[in-house]
Amino acid sequence: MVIICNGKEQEVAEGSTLLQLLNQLQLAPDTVVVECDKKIISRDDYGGMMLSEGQNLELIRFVGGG
Amino acid sequence: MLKIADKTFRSRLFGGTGKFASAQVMKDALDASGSEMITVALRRVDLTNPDDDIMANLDRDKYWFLPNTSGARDAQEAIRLANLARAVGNINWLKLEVTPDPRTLLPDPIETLKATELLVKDGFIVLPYMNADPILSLRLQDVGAAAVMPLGSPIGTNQGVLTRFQVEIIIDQARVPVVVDAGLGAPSHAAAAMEMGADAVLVNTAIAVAGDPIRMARAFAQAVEAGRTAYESGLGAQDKQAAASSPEIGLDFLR
Repeated sequence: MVIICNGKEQEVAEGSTLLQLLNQLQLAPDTVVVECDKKIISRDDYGGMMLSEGQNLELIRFVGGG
Repeated sequence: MLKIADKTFRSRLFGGTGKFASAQVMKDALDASGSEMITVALRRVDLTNPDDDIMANLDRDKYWFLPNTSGARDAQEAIRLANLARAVGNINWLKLEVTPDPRTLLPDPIETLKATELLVKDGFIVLPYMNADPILSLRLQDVGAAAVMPLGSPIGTNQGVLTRFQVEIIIDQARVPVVVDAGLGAPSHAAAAMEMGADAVLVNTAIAVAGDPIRMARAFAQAVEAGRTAYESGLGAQDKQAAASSPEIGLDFLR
């Protein structure tokens, strides 16, 4: 199935959890925050959150800034 | 010692983490600056570069992180970024930036005041970036700003403290620390702000883009310390008329 990840289409296996997506993207879960349809997902829920077709995820992290 | 909310800081130079040529240069420059509080921004993860994580290069025990809301154009966007910062880093401190005009990056006073009030109520320690407006400074303090951050000159311009007259009034009236932020392009600018009685300064661009950012960071640290010591020592009053430093008596033998 396809979800939207940081504005781009991303193919994920049916029945994937958010944690599995982060693993697939090689992202350490404790370095990112995830918004799903503009709602922040608690890190404790990454493992239990099932992804569904068309969901809009934003993966955000700290970067250099002033 | 500088105290903001319940935290004390020995260094009065706050560092930024943007625009450095490499993570190593950033790390070394921050080390040389002696800064204890550093700013970070929030952006989408670069999915083509998943290991590019600034936090991996910075020691959270050494630095107090001040996430900014750079990029926000109104209160609503700033609040969204604030909540993301709190979620990603478990940090409730915030440099609130609301800059609707990308050309000037000047802060929107009305949206900044609105966001400060809402974020303070929601438990954030808010340090708003603001134009050097003494009345706005009072209003921000009234709604619970933990410090105020008036600009010296627009972000990244290296023009120094062009807002001197207003910053002096802000310092004079302040009930919370005043951190002069933005536009400090040379150590002398930072020293000038500190001599005026600013509690701290925030410097990013001037260090990051210097020929040798590590030595420049050290120069800023020295300037901030010199300026603070001068302020605490009490500067002599300015005068329009000359006043001889050498004695005026005892010259009879000359004439």
